[in-house]
Amino acid sequence: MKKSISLLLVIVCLLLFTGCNGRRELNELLIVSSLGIDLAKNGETEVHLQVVNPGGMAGNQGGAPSGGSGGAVYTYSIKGATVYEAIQKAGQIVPRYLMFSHINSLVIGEDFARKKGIRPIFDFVERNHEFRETVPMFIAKDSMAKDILTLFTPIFKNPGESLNNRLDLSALSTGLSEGVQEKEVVRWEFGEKRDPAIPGVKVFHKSPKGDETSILDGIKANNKTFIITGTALFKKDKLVGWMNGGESKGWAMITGKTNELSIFTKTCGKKKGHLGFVAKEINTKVKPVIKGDHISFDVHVTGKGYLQEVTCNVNVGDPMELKKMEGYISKVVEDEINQAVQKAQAKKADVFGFGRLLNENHPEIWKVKEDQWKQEFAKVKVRPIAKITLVTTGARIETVNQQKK
Amino acid sequence: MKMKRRLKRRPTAGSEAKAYENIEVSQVVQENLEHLKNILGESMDVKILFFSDRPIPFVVCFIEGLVNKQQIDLSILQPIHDWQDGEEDVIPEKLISQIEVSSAVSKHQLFGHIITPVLKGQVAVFVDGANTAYTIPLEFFPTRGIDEPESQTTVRGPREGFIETLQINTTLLRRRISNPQLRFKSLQVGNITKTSVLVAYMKNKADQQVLNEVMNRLHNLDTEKVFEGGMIEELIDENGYTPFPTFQSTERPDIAAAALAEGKIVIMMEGTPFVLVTPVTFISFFQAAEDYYSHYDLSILVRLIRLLSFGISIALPGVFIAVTSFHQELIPPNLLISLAAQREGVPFPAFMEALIMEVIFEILREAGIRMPRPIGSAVSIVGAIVIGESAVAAGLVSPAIVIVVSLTAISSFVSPYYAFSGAARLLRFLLMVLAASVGMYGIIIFMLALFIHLCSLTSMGRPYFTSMAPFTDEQDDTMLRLPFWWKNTKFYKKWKSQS
Repeated sequence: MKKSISLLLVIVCLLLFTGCNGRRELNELLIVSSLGIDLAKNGETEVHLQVVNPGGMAGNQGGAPSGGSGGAVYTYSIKGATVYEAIQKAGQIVPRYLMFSHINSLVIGEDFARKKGIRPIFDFVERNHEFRETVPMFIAKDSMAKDILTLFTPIFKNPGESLNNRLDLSALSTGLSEGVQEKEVVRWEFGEKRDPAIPGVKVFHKSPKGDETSILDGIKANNKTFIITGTALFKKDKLVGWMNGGESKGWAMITGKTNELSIFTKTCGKKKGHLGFVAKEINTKVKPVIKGDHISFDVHVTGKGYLQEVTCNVNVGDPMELKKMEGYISKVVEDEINQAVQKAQAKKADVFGFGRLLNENHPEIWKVKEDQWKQEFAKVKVRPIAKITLVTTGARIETVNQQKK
Repeated sequence: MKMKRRLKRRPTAGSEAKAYENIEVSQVVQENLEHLKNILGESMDVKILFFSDRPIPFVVCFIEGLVNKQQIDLSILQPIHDWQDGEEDVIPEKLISQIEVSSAVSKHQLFGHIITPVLKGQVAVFVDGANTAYTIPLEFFPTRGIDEPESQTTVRGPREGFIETLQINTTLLRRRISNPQLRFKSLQVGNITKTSVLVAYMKNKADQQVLNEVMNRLHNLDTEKVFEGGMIEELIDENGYTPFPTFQSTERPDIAAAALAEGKIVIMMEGTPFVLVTPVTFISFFQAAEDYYSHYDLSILVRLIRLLSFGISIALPGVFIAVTSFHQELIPPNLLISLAAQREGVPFPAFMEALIMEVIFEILREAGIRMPRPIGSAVSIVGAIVIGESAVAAGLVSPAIVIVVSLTAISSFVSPYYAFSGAARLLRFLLMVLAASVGMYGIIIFMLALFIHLCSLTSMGRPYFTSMAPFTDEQDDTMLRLPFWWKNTKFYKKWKSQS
């Protein structure tokens, strides 16, 4: 009896002496939804913390009396020597405990990426147990991260979510089916000796009132939205250039980051007009081909084409004509891949992971080439082989144009 | 060992009251009359009729209201009078053979054996010149009609329920099992109340060892009074310290009959419509009668829902507290934001909120059961509107906790056995405390302890958590209610032959 009582006492003590360590009520937390990093004028790092105001975010749905006021998000900015120092200093200006586990996007200013490089932020982000390594990264094109994080957006009250979702849900024309996650960048840069590429974002039309909730009242949406545009090319960890839309698609196809994208042709063979397609189920295989001293890469792209638009005078009902169309799409795909490769080669940034492929398939050659791979990469031949099969012409066969005659 | 200590308690009932038990029946009927008056006293319902002016004087003794008085006149008094008037050589030994009753007449020499039957509704006859007395069963008393059981209802299935009268309850069982192997063993429990208890079992099916154990425990039972199966249950249960019931208490004859047919033992007693089924397993508390009356696919779904609700009713408030105050990263962002919005301005921590709402609910529930019927609507208005809505509007608690507590409450009513949901009710509070102090870690520790405890329980010496641990081949009616033809399937046969 005595034994069991003392055992019980020990158990109770063990439980009670832990206190309520780590316990934080929801109204003691500040949920960080986006993190922005900029280069300050004095060379320090400026961190922008976009935090959620739950009351403003949930609107009137919460029954709690004091909820439901103010903007949905607020952005705190603070400078420090490093990201961590800035965030620690932020403790002095934010009213609650900062929680990073629900971060939606990590935005880095172009200046910071160009001059300081992205390397200094990774140790903190990887070491912090709250930070999700799956957070998508963006580069603020031609602007500061601050510009991106100080804009109220309609539809999604949370701008970070808005930014993140357009990659997942709506951006066919970028070719990106998913964002570039923080862990991928770390893996590419530190594990695979591959240069990172990160999608760029900027405010579509800058407006002086973008940081006030009143902007949400106007019907014009262009001044309160972001545009995913281009892809930042990095050499090691420094930004060296931008790929434009077509090049970005090419990059996305080679790296297998796409499985759905839109394709436009400027002509229908020799006739005037345009063809529009959506390509789905895109599958990419890259193979290094060694011929003597020459290294080349074959990029096989397969997929299914869905005809969306025909503005030229072709007989869509003719199977031969459809065969030709398949050729046109494949041509566009090959062109985009070529452009991407040319841009990357010009900047000597191996953003496709060709080096790693070589290492995997021909380690003996990689051992020789490893040291001067950057030079080698610039000379490498890439042969795109696209095979997009047309699956359907959509809800009708002949074009409207054709019928009129 | 625990068990023995609790059962071997010293006799409690006053021993002076037992003095009459060894008094022998005298040849002189007047002496017997005196004894009767001494023992039964001057109670107005005790009728002692002394026919002194007859050739053979005799005494008839019974309790008014427990016997059929007409039958006494017709079957006992009338024939005896006729016989005494008509015959020449009346001798005491022949008197008793004159009465015309269908049930067996028993002979007794000791008052101890006479008084209890009389108190239970038999008629005692003392004859001058004979040192034996006779008891004649002529019980007749008002009973409640057979109603639909209120605590265990079904949509499909029999609507009969047990009632407070033992005899009718045995009939209900007999009508369902017309098999000579169905046996009832009778005994009395309670030093004061002398309540009749029946142990029902199928002789060829029931485990002899378990049966002996049950009989043994009932015989050794030393208590003053029993009025409900629950009182017996607590006294003969070998697990002193557990919130889980190790007897199934049911008022449905079909459940009791099914249990008998499965070889279980049913303990029935006078004065309550609830019977006890033993030995039981953890999973049998999830098996409702209707599972077997509806199609198996539906039963499988319903049983899984029941298991889920049991889980919810134990763990939901605890998990909610742990997740919202320790592990916010587990909540999807948008849900987290809307939970956080609800919490803005709420003065108490999540644990206090949950505790307040749980306690309020328990109060409402208890009031709902105990209050007089006409007040019912007042209580539900106060409960639903004032506490549910106004507590949120007043900023006392957040709406999410109201959802959590009400879902928990509804889930706890899903269990087909009321006593079982009580276990979840108790454990819920313990889990909430653990969750509030150490978060998910506490919940995991609690769950481990719970499973260890469940595995250590026994019901009448049989493992409580069986068919899961120890794992058995008989899985066709545990978590899932497999079809009745399951054992004829090719799959089962193949699996059986392989293992």
